[in-house]
Amino acid sequence: MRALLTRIRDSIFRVGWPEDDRKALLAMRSSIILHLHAPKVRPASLRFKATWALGFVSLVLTLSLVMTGIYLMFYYIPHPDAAWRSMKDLAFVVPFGVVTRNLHRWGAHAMVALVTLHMLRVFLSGGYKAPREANWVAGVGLWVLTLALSFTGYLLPWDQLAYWAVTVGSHMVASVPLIGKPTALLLLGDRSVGEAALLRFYVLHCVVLPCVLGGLVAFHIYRVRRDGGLVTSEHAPPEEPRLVPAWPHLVYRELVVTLIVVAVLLAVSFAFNAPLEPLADPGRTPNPAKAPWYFLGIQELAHYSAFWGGVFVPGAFVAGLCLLPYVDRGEAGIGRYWPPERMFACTAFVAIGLFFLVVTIIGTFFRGPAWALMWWPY
Amino acid sequence: MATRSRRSVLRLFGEAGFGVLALQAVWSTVRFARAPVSYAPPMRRSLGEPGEYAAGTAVYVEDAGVFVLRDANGLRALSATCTHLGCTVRKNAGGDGFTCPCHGSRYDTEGNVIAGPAPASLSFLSLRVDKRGRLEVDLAAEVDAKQRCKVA
Repeated sequence: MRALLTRIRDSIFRVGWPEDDRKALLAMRSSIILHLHAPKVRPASLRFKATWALGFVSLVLTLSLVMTGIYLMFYYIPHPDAAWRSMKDLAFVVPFGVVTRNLHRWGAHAMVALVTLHMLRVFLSGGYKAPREANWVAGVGLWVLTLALSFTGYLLPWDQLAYWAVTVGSHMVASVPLIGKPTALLLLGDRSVGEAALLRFYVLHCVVLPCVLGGLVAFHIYRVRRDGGLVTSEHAPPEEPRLVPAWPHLVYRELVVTLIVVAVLLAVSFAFNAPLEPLADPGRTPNPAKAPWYFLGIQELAHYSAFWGGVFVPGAFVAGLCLLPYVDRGEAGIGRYWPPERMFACTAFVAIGLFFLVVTIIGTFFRGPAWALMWWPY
Repeated sequence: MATRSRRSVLRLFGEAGFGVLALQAVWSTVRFARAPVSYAPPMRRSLGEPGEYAAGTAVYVEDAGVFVLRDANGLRALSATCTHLGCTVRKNAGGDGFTCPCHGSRYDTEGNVIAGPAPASLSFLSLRVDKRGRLEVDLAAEVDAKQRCKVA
């Protein structure tokens, strides 16, 4: 009996628990999950300061969002007559329904913040330069996808905030000259936000965008490995110790980070409930009508001009991000944060980031009813 | 004429084949997504009896998203949809015009922009009395601000 169990175990785990480096390398090669890592890594890349684990935490959050999203799909009905009621079911009837929704909501918020910080970290260390240009563009794509997933997910509760945030968003799309109106019509499937729009956003949110995200994440992570991991500074000491096996040095760190992320997410989700406003009412706009915080910067800009602030400035920013690695090709200073050689680039990037942060803070805290400027936090 | 190898010509055909395939996939996806069916509420909405609206008032009809304005010369329907980003404007407490709750666009009593990001005035919509003597607004038909629906 014992022998049978051992045979079954050995047929699945060919190497067993690795006790030495040789076995660790074999284990890395034979396991489908472990083989995504390079078998050996640089000790410098393992330091917390090298990545602040931002990319990995984004990956953990993505997996958590996929899982909690699938749970939510068992109760959610994408129709205006039923969507808001199913949110109430989750809140009052379904065991752990509240926590599942909270995990999904707060995980999504954390994801937007962390993917943004990850981009900032990569920029400051010059990680977008050759040979990593395409991977930087893929990363920009992942950032846009994260925002698109947030935006499409935002409509699904079908409360007042959802309805009006998406009404405002679709009018921003429609404000683009020539192609705006047909694009908004494609997105909403009708002339106003209604059952067609809800179903479209649902399918985009649960199927289309996650599939695109999965493909891009695979490309992104594979390229990180193919391009030799993190960028290294030319000032790195030559006596740097030899490579260490990814098991246990990298894998253990990942497991610890996973544990911390899930613990924090659970704690936040037990402590704070995701808001749900009254049922969507197409005849009455709430005052003020605010999008989720990460879109309030764009809403603040759109308050000056729908097209220039709401579409052109964000669009130009994303286009600039994509072009950046093909224009800024200097090799000096890469692998270090904010080095003197890249003073202008880093200062400019942080300045742009601060600009968006400031308009986001104004939009979030200092705009009251009718978007009037308040001198105290609203 | 430059000679091409048979292989390079066949490869060109193959590439063109995939190109055509990709184009038709994009085109048919867009066509597929442009549903010719609308499930939205109809554009023509009944606003009830003309007698419900007293002279000198601007009454909001939530089902249609319009203000019904009545003066000595007749009735008019003013769209409540803000021309900036589509929120529904509200009547000011003082009755001196309309304000959008989303980004603070302000309009006077005739729907002209006074302040804020709105690029255009609120539009007046076609209003008529149907066979049963009820008011009917057509949300798709804009009319001139001077045009009034005369009622007895």
